[in-house]
Amino acid sequence: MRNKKRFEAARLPAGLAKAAAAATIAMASLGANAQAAAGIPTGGPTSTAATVKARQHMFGFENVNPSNGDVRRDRVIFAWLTTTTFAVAANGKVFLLDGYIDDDQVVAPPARKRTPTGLQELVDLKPEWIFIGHGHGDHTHYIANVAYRTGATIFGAEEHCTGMQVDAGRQFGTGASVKCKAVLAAGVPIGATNMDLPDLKPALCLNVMRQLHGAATPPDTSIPFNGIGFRDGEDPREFELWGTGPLEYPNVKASGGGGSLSVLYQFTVPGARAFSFSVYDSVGPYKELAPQLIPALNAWPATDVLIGAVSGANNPTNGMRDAAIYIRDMQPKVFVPSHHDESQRRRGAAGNSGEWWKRNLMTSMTHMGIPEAQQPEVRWLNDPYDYVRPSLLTFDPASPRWAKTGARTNATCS
Amino acid sequence: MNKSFKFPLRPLHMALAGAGVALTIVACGGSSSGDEPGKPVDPVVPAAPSAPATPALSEQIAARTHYFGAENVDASTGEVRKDLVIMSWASNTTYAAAINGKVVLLDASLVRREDAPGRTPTTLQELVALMPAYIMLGKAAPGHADLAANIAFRTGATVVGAAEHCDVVEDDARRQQSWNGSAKLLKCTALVPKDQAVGLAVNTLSLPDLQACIRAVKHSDEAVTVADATLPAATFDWSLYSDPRDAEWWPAGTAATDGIATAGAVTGPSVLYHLTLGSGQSFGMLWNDRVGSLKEKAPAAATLLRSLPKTDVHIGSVDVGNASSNGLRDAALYIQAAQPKIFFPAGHDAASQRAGAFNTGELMKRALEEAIDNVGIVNPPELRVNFDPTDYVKPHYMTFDPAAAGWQQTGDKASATACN
Repeated sequence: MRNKKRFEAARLPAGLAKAAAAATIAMASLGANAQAAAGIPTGGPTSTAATVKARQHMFGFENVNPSNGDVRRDRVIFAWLTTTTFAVAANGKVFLLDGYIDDDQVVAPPARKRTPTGLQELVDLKPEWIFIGHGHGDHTHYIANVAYRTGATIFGAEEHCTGMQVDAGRQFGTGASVKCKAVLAAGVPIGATNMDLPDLKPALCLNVMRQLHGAATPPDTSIPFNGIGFRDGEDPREFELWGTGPLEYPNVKASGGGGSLSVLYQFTVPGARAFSFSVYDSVGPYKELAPQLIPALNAWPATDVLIGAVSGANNPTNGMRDAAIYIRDMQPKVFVPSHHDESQRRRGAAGNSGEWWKRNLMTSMTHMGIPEAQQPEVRWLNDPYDYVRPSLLTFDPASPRWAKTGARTNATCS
Repeated sequence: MNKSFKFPLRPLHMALAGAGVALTIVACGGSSSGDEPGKPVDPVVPAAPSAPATPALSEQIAARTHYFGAENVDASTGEVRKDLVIMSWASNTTYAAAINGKVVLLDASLVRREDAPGRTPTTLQELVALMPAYIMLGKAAPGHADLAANIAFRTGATVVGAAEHCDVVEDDARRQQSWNGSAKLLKCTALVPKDQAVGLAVNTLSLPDLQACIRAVKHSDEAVTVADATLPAATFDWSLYSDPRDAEWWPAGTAATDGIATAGAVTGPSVLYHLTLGSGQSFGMLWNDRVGSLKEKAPAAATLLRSLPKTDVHIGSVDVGNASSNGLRDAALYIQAAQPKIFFPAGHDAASQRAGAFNTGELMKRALEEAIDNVGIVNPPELRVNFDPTDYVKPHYMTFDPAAAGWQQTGDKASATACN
C-alpha cells in the first residue's frame, strides 16, 4: 500500500512518460550528459567482497561461495527485507521481488536501526532481476537506483517500465535509462496472463497475471466480522528498543509509474518436482471488485509456496479475508505473509504485532471455508526479528513434498 | 504414585539395561524403531510395569512433521531425511534433533508445560510421539530432565549422560512406575563415569546409527558473583522489558497434571557435548545446557572446551548465574573457547520467565553482544536468536546441511578425524 504522507511520490509528467515508454527494454546507460541528481547515490557494487558479504547476509553464509558470491543452486532462499521486498536466490540466480526498504533510516548509536539492511546492500547484492508487483513507492522507491547501478533487468507491466525510465532519468540525468522488460502490455485487463515466458530460462520459468490492488469494501456480511485495526496488537516496547532517524536516502524515490496496476508472478524451478512459488504484493478484494479472478486463480498452475500481501485497506472492515481468498483459490502448500509490518508502522503503531495478525488470517481462512486439513502451512513473519532471516524461508525444490498430487497441474516449464 | 504411568517393559529394555557401559565405545543403542517410528513390542516379562501405549503411527508422523517440517518427513512412514541435521527448540535448553534420520532429544523438559499446546506449543505426549532414539542429558535436574525417564520408558530411547544422570532417570522411572524389581527400566549410556572430576577428560562415544562421534566434557555451572575486574563492568537484568501483551495473547492453560518430574538434584554434574556429524565427520555441533564461570570455577573444563574439534554450530545456555555482576560474560567465554561459526542462545526464555518477564530475546541478544565484545572474541559467531514463544518448534530456523561447503573455512579449528 501507498504511504501518501511519507512518500509523496511525484506524478509522472505526460511528455516524459511518452518518451520513456518508447521501448520496453532499454539498456542501462549513462547518457553523455548524464549527471546524478543531488542526494542520489551512484556507483555499482562496492567490491566482490561486498557482494559476498551481502549475499551471505541475505542467504546464509553456508549457502554462498566465499570466493565469488555464487549461491548454491539446489535451494530456493528468500530473505524478507521489509514490506513486500524479498531478496531471492533460486537455481543460483539472485533477484529482488519489489525494491523498497521500510525505515531505511540513519540512526545514531547507541540506538539501533530496526531495519537490518539498506539501499547500499541491495546494490552490493548484485541482483540480476527485479520484479515490480505494483508501482507505488513503498514497493518501488529503490528499484531504478539499484537497477541502474547494477545492470539488473526490471520486469513489470509496460506502465511500470515507463515509470522506471522516468526514475532513471530523474536520478541519473537526461539520457540515463535502465533495462526493463514489460511482461504485460499497457492497458491489459485484470486477469490477463502471459505464460511460460522465456526471459529467465533456463534457470527459471515465469508466468504473470495482472491482478487486483487492495481496496476497502464494506463488511462482508456473509461471514462473521473479523476486522483488524492497524494499531491492534502493537508492541509498546518498540520505540525504546529501536531508534529512529531521518531517511538515509530521501531523494531516492520512485515516480510511481504504473500506480496500483498489480502483477502476480509465478516462478518455477525446472525439475521433476517443478517447485513453484507465486508472489503478489497487494491484496485485492476481488470477490467484489474483480470476480473474474476467481476462475483465473483456480486455473493458475500449482503453487507450492505463495508469498502474499496480507495487509491492505480492507483490513479494518474485512480483516484478512482477501488474503484468505487468494489462499483458497491458489491452494499453496506454504503461505508466507508480507506487508503487515509497514502497514502497521506507518499508521503510528509500534509494530511487532505479527502474532495478532497471524491469528486474524487463521480465522479468516476458516471463515472462507478452507477446511483445517487443507489450510497451508503458514510460515508467519514477525517484524523486525524475521527481517533477513533466510533460514526460515529456505526450500529444497527436490523435496517429495512438492510432488503434485491434486487436480492442479504443474506450470509448463522445460 | 500415579498408577496411570505404569507401562509394560519391553524386552529390549530388559536385555540392554544393566549391561553396563564403557567409555570410548561404539554404541548401537537407540530405540527399537530404526528410522521409522516404532511399533509396540509385546510385553513378555511378568511382574514388570504394564505396557506403554505407543502412539499411533499417524500421531508419530504428525509429531515429526511438526518438529522437522513437512518437506523433511515422509508422510506415510514418518522417516526423516538423513542428509540434513534438523532441530527444533522445544523451550529452555530442550531441542529435538533429527540426525541421520534418527530423532535425538537434547534434554527433555518443557517450560510452562500444560495439558495441551499453549504458549509452549508442544506436550509430553508429542515428545513421546517423536519416538526418539536417544535422549542426551546435560543436567539431570528440573528444567532439563523432567520428562526424560517417562519418554525413555515409553519409547525405548537410550539416555546418554553422566553415570549420575543414569541413576537419576532410572530412579525417576522406578518412582513413576512404582517398580522396585531388580531389572532396570531404562537403557542409559553413562558416557561420563561417576565422580569424574570436572574437566578431567573428553569422553567419547561413537554412534554409527547417527554417523556421529560424541565428545562429552564434565563442566560446572557454578558461578562467581564478584564482578570480573579484568573486563568492563556489565550487568543484565532478566526481568526487564517484558512483553506486556504476553499474558493476553498466551493465557495460562491447565498446568500439566500428570506430576511427571525429575527428582534429580540441581547440584548434580553438568555435561556439555560436542558432536561431529556426517560421513565425513566434518560438521561440528556443541551443546551446553548449563553455563558456569569456567574461568574461575573450572579452568580445566575450559581447557578441554578449547581442545574440542571444530564447532560450526554452538547451542549454548545463556542462563548465567551471575548476570547482575558479570552480565552474560560466562556464556561469552564458552563461545570464545569453542569458536563456533553460528551461536544459538538457549535457556533465555526460562531465565526471563523466572524473573517475571516474557519475550525479552532482543535485550538478551544485545547483552550477549556486549559480553562478546568485552571478552574480546576475535571472530564472533553469527548470532541466531530464537525468540519465545514464536520460535518454539520452528525447525526451518535450525536446519543444517552437513555437506555444505560453507562449514569449511580458513582458520577453522581442526576437524575430528577419529572418534577417540
